[in-house]
Formats: sequence, C-alpha cells, structure tokens
Amino acid sequence: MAERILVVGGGIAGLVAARQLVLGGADVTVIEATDRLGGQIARHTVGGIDLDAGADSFATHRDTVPALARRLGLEDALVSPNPAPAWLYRADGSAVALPATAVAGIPGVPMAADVVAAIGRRAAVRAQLDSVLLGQVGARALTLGELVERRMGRGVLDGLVAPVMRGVHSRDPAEIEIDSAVPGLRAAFLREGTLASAVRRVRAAAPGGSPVQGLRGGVSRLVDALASDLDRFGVGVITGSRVVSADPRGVVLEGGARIAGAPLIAAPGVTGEPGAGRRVTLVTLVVDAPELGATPRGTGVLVAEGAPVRARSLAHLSATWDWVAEAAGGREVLRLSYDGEPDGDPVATAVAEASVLLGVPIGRPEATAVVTWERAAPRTHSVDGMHHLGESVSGTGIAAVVAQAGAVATELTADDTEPPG
Amino acid sequence: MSAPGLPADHPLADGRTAAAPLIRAYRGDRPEHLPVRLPVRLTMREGTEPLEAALTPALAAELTLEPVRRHGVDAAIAFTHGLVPVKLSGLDLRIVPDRGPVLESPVRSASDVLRLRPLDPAALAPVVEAVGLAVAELGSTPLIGSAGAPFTLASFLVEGGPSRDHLRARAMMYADPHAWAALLNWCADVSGAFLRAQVLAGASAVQLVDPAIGALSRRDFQRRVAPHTQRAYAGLRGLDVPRAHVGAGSGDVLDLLPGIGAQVIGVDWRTPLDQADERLGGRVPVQGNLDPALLGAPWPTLAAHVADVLERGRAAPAHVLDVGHEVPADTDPGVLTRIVELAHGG
Repeated sequence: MAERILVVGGGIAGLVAARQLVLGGADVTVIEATDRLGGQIARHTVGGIDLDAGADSFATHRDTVPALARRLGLEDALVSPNPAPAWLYRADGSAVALPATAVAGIPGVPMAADVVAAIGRRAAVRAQLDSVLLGQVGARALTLGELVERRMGRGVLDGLVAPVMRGVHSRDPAEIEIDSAVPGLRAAFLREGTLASAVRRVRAAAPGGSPVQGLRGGVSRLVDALASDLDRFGVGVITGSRVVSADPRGVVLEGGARIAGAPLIAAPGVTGEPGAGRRVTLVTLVVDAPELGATPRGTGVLVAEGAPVRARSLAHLSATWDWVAEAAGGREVLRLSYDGEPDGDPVATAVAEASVLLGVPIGRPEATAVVTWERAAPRTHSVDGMHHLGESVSGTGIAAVVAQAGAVATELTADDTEPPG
Repeated sequence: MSAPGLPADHPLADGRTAAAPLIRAYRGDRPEHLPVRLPVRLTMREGTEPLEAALTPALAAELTLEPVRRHGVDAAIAFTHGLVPVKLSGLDLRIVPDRGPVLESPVRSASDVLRLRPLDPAALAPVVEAVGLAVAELGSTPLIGSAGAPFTLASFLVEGGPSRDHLRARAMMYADPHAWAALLNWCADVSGAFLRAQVLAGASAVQLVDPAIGALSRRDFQRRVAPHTQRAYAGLRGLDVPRAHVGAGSGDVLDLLPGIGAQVIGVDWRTPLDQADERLGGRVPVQGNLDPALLGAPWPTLAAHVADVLERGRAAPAHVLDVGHEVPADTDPGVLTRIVELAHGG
C-alpha cells in the first residue's frame, strides 16, 4: 500500500476509515467538499445548549460504536437513554405507550397488557399465533415487513412496527431488510423458531439493556475526537474541496486539479447515478413547560401513518438524555422530525404539533432551530474498481456506517500484508 | 576487579571494560585521551522503522556497533528506542507515515493509567539478545544501555505521539496530580526494568534520555518529575554501573540531577560546559556538548567549536565528548570521524 489513499468525504465513514488506515501504516488524505467534518453528524447550539443537530444515538447490538468511543477516549461519555418507552400517536388521534418488551415495535410478549392496549385484543391474539406457527413460516422473508406480517399479522405490523420504522429509520418496513432494521434478528429467529423469542433474545443481548446509546455532550464528540486523532497522526485533511469525479487512479477536484491516489469514496454523488435522496427536517424547540417534566409521553412520540399531524416523530430530548436535561436547566428540549419540509413556518407547525402529540399546550419556545438534512439514497451496485463507504452502501445508522467503514479499511490494510509480486 | 551485583562474565566484572576510557571518565577520572561517544546515526536503508529495528536483535546489534567500527568512538550506545518497553508492555503502538510511532489511544485519564500493565521482564528478550550480540563483538569497548526518562515517556503516552510543547502532559500534571504520579511511576518502573535488563545483558553504563525535560520549569521538574526519574535509576539497585542523564534544554535543572541518581550529566549546546560545571559544583563528570547545528559547517569552524568545547570541558572533573541525543541524518560521516580523531589528540 505504497500508494496514497484518498478518502473522499469527511463524514464519520471517511474519518473512521482514514484513522484506521493511517494506523495500519497507509498514507492517507481526506478530501471534504464542505468546510466542516462530520457529514450527517453535527453540533448546534439551541438556547445555549449544545445538541446534536443530526444523528444523536447509535445502535449497540454490536459493540462497534462503543468500541470506537473507547478507542477515542470517550468511554466515560457513553450514556444510555432513559429506558421509559416511547409512545405511539395513532391515526384516530389517540396515544398509547409502545410495548416495553418490543424491539423495532415487535413485541417480545404479544399478549402483554401494553400490547393489548396498543393494538387491541384481536391483533394481540393474532400475534400470539407466532408461538405455535412452524419455524418455516416467514423463514424466507427478506424484509422486516414480510417477516412481521407472516409471524404476527397486520395488526402488529401496521400498529407498531410501521410507525416505529418510519419514526426511527424513515423507512417503510416493507422496504427494509430485516438485518438492516434489527441486526441479529433474522439469525435469532432462525435459531429460536418464533419471532417473539427472537425479540427477547435481541433485547437480552443489548449492552445495559439499551438497544441504543449516545454520548454525553452529543455524538458529534466522535467527530471532534476523530478529527483530532487524524491531526495527531499527520493525516492531511482538505476541506472546502469538492471532488467532481473519481477513477481508480485518482480524483479530480472542482476547478480541474487532479490528485493521484486510490480513492475511497465516502460521499454520495461522486460516482455513478445520483440516486434520489430524501430530505428530513428536524425542528428543535427549547421550551419552558413545567408540565412536561412529568414526561407525559415517555421519551417521545412516534406517529402512525394517517395521523392528523405532519411530523413523523417527536423526541423529548430532555426526557431521553440526562445530560440534555442537566444542560437545559429546567427547560424542556423537544425535537420533531419531518419528511421533507413542514408546511409554512416550520417552527409554528412544530409548536402546534408538539402540543397535540404531547397532550400539553406548548407556549412560545425560548429558542428554536430548523435543520434540513439530505439523506443519501441506497447506492445501486456498480463495479467501478473503487471502494465505497457511508450510508448509501452500509444502510442507515451510525453503527452500520462505522462497521462498514471499518470493514473496508481492514480489507485494505490486510491487502498490504500480502508479499509483493 | 570487584563489580557488585553483576554476573561474573559481565564486561565490568571480568575486567574487559573496567579500565576503558569512557568508564574511567564516567567514574570521574581523566583517562589518557578524552573519550568520545556519538549517538547512532540512522544509516538504515529506506523503509526500516527505528522501533522495529530495535526489536530485531541482529539488526539492532549491527546498528549499535556501527559508530564504533566506523568512527572509532569510545563507547557503543545500545541501538534502541525509548518506546521499546512501552510496546513490549502491550500498548498499541502504531507507525504512521511521516510521523513515526503513535499511540492509538493516548493515556489521558486516571482509568487509562490504571489499565497500564507492568512490563514482563521476559518480554525484553529481543533487547537482551541484541545487547548480548553487540557486547560479544565490542571487547574492551563499553556499551551504554539506554532508556527514555519517565517524563519523556509519559509525555508521549499522554500526547499519543510526538509533541513540541508537551502541553497535554503538563496539563495532566496539574489537572490530575494523582493519575500523573501513578503514570510517572509506571514509566519509571518500565525504564528502570529496561535499563536493568541491558546491564545484566552486558551494558557497562546506562543513560536516561530525556529530550522533553526542557519543556519543564525548574519547579515542575523538582516537584512532579524528579522523584520519578530517581525511581527509574533506582531500578538499577545493586548493580554498580555508571549512570548518565542525557537531556535537552536541561540547563536550568542540571544541579538537581546528581541528587536523584545521575552520576554523569549530559549538557546540550545551550549551556557552555564550564558554566555547567559551575552549576554542578565542580564535582560531577559532564558529557557534551557539540552543537549539532555546526556538524554541517566548514571544517575550520567546526574544529574551532570542538576545541572550545574541549577547553571548557577541562573545568569539570571529567569530560566525555558528545553531541546530544541525536545527530542530524544528513551529517557527513567523515566529519564525525575527524571529530573523534581531533578529540583523541590525532
């Protein structure tokens, strides 16, 4: 690996790969189109509180991100969210707590009282059928939607899983692969023979019982620590330079300059057909609303399809993360997610919808922030002789992105150990 | 010839090096000619990494012998690397392009310090082997065992790589004095064990190399570092070999060094040797202090500089000519040979 590696894209995928490659002895340069590293992970300050502006937690079913945090000296900052369940806001305008034993909305105990309360007795009884159906039923399902429907029926799928998947991954369960939605679920199901016991298995395997974790101070600390390590390791980081084309021998920057090296594509849209990405708008509200201190909707609200609000989900950040509550000093921090952009004034819409979703009137917010993110579309497979990283190939979520970037870097470093010739 | 604590076949114990000019000077004597020692100049082939070379016994022994064979100096300095014991104690050192060794996860918190494991003496086998191979070739020329001083090691561990101002390390000294003390003790024990292994393998003298010491105020050195440097020397308890300190920018603390176990004080070009001797009370052998910047100067200029160093060195009870801990890589090797000849009175 005498040749320089050009990491195109300074998001978490590119930074993780660059760090691992330089530690493996490679000569690495990172080229980032914008003036800021971190991509979909960023920090903003709302009402004096430093918050994640984009992604704010990561899946812990595998140790990938916690292990990265430990390597970056952030072990002491790892935090689990409040274990209280989120709520579901349904099409008829009623709200119900999501089942406490669920993963991705799939109940681990289908006849539990909270499941019956959420989807009704009939749907719960149908879900309970999972325990007597043969193991083959659903064994060949590829998507989460298909698996859940075959094992537990439409009641669970439409009433629990779809709103959770829409709220968490912005994806329909019929479009999302099982392992991409809940890594390890498919293998656990094939082993256990029923979906409910597979769910309980996956829950039991999560460290500290929490399927996600965050960092005190925000997951953007990962980006700060990665950037500081790259500096320490002498990796060249070029920001504000857009790569307009790449081939296996180098890249061309906007303006025409060519840099020779082996590109590692960690940004969408550099090569191949630009896929139709999605836009997601996050509206953050800092409010003085003491009634919310009782966390009327747990850690937040997921919105079922057909419900009379435009928001996809509401995260009660100061109820979810202790560090946010401490930083907020008695105020409450809410974040509403919208597909695309909310109609009209996003803040006015978000305040009105937060009142509806929480069942508590929200007054004029003390501080607000509106951030729109472009999410990369899944990349259609094409052979171009280059390695690709990032959400468009790894699937959604920091854990998936970090794991895939690490795997590619490991592969590249391993290539190097082969004797030449 | 008595040499307490040393194996019977040790070069000091069996008499091979006991009367060598360098050892006599290190013990405060003035031998017939002025002894010269020069650090190993990196004449390795492209792509050889010093840390890896230091752990390859045959190569390390060759590199150790090179200055003796090539320039006729009075001692060989073990070709090693201050980070060898760090690596051998299991920390994840990586070599990155253009920067050299870095630590993937620096030691920055009390819990990081608690995770440091003691160095298993058995892990030092490649170093013991390299020293043994070199000593077998050296005959009456002594070998100087070498290790990084605790502050220099600790700074690397806290910074996670090379640093100019050692800011993070000095910050930890104040932010978490207990973790700092524990870290420095770990470094001292590792360096002490490293020196001890080299002595038992045949080194006739030792040095603690301390290029970072110049970043410390006198007060910080005295209160937060010196006790640990003393602990590193104490790792040699029971072994009667001369102990040198080779610092950079250590002019302000020279007088503190003899009190913590250093018997020969390295002085860099910043402090003229006669002044250094004065600070040391005229009682301690000094080593130094050619200015590496002059190694590329025209010979008459360099020769005048050598003469000046030798003249000022006469103020001290004993003097070993040296250039500090590093010779610039582009130095003409012929120049080094001429310096040795000049010092030897040729």
